[in-house]
This record gives sequence, C-alpha cells and structure tokens, in this order.
Amino acid sequence: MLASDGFLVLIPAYNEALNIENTVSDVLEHCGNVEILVVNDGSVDKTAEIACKAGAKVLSLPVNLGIGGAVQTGFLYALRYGYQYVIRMDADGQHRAKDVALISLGLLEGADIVVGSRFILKEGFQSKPLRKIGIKLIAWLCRILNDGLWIGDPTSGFRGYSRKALSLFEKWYPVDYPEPEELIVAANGHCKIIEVPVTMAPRVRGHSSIGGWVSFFYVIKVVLAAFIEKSRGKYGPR
Amino acid sequence: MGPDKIQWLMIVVSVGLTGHLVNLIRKRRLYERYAIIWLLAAMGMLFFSIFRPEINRVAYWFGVDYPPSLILVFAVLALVFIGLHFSLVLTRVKKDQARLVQEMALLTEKFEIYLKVSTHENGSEKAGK
Repeated sequence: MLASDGFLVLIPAYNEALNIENTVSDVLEHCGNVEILVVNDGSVDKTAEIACKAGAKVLSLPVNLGIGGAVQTGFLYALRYGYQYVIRMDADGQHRAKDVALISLGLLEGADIVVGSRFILKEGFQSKPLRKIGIKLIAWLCRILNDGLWIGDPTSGFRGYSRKALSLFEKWYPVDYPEPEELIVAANGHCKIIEVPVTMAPRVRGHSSIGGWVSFFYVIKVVLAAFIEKSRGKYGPR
Repeated sequence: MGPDKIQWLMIVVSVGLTGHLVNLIRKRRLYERYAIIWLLAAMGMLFFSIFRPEINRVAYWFGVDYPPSLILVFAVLALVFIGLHFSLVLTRVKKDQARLVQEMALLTEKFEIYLKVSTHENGSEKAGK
C-alpha cells in the first residue's frame, strides 16, 4: 500500500552503524516494499554500507550538515522524484515501524504533517523526567504561537509529511533541532497538523546528540526561533 | 537623579543591536546559534546601562578600584572568546569546503569518463549499422 501510494520512508543517520540494520529491517518487515532512503550525514563509521546491505537506498552527504540539512536533503529527494508523502524516522531504533501505518493513514486522510506522539497512550519509553518537562514547556509554547493547536510531543522526529509540507521546506529548513520550529513554519504555511499515538523505545545503542549543556542551548534556540518564526506571519495558499 | 546621556546612548545602542539581530534572524541571514552569543552581549550591555551602580558593586567585589577597567577587561575577554568561537566555525567551514571541492572534482572526472565511454559506444553502434 505504501509503495503504490507514493510513500518514502526517510531515515537521517549519523554514525548509527550499531542500529541502522535493525531499523531498516523493521521498516521492511512492517511496511512491505516501500522505498527507504537513508541520508548518511557524513558518518565516519559503516552506517552507509550496513544500510545499503539491509536494503535501503543510501544518499551519502560528503560533509556533516546536521539533522536539519540531512532531513531537508531527504525532502528534496522526495520532491524531485515525485513522492507524495514522506515518513521520517530516527535511525537509532526508538521509532517502531508498526506505527508507520497510523501516520500514513493520517496523511492519506488529508493531514499535511502527522506527528507521532509518545505521550498520547503513554506507552513505551516516555523520556527522562527533566526532558519531559522541557518537552511540555515547548508544547505549551507551540500551542500559544499556533493559535491553540495542541501537539503534545513537538520534539518527536517520527512524522509524516504531505507534498504541500515538503514544498514549504524546499528552500529553507531549520538547521538546529528543527522539530518544534517546523510546526510553526507549517502552521504559518496553512498546513493541517495532527498528532497520532505511537510507541517509542529507549535508544538501543550509541549516544543521543542532546544532553548536558546542549539541552540548555536547545531550549534557548527553540524559544528564540519559535517567536521569530511566528513574527513572519501566515504565507502561501490555504 | 536620572540616567546620564551616556546611559541613554548605551540603552539605545543595546536595544537597537537587539532589534537588528532579531531582524537578521528573521531574514534568515543569521543562524540562531550564532546570534545567541551577540544577544547575550546586547542584554548584558542593556543591563549595565540601566543599572549603572551594579558595575561599581561587581568591580569592588573583584577588588578593582576603578570600575570602568572591569568593563574593559570583560569586554576584551568576551571579544577574545567570540573571536575564538568564530575561528573554530571558520575552520570547520574551510574543511567542509575543501571536502566538497574534492568531491566535485572526483565527480567531474567520473562524469567525463562516462561521457567518453558513452560517446565511444554510440560511435561503435553507428559504425556497426
């Protein structure tokens, strides 16, 4: 179903050699013959080789662009090769491919961005307490700036995008920690945003890129970017 | 006794700098990660412009008899750290640029070989006919 409906599963990856094979296999097991694009963001390990052997198409960036650059590369690929929808997943095994069906259903029913939220059913990995507080604060900020739209897990990278949403990000996409800012850009661009329940697992192996002082910078950057993005106002066709 | 003229000037400069930074981010000419450090500097300037006696208190706490010296020391230190930060950013950009140029050269070479082979094969096919 996914392949024939023009879906692309996008997995940005940076040094995920330990996890990428399981992630790709999980998608193939639950999503049939859908095309999987792994954007290898300048990894120094064997992420690209392992992803390719696992059955994914791999786009290797010659230098590390960061999550924003890698995700935007996937969006450009989808736009140029005529895909109608993109489902974005993390490479570290936290997102479960069985939840792709619910996200894709949301897109087929007309949503432009479908956010997979771990906080609706409250099953699986719920994130560490301090990070949960931060996520809640960001969710409230997004609600205030998005005219009351509540997305309980605005930092979730498990999302689906329609072609309309992809087009919004063709020329510009947030570079650092793009997920919350992406929602405000999308709301400004008259995108329909919904949230569906998903189950996340704790990171299997490797290290998260957000921790310590980086978390502090994350919050400042997100708050600043959110307000500035809101100040741009609505644009584009409804 | 209200603020001195110099305080008013610094308040205007601080607010103007903050507004300019926000505008640069809005126009996507400046990334937030590089603006944060300047925004902190602007807010620091604004704070000490408004609360001038605080400079004296901080200076005496450090054992500095002449408070303007402390501002100068902090300003120089801040510029050193900011300069070092951007030197690191530039180094990374240069490294990435070199890698991209190399990749482009290798791709061009690959493409030229492909064109030669493609032209040769087309020529052979036409001769065969």
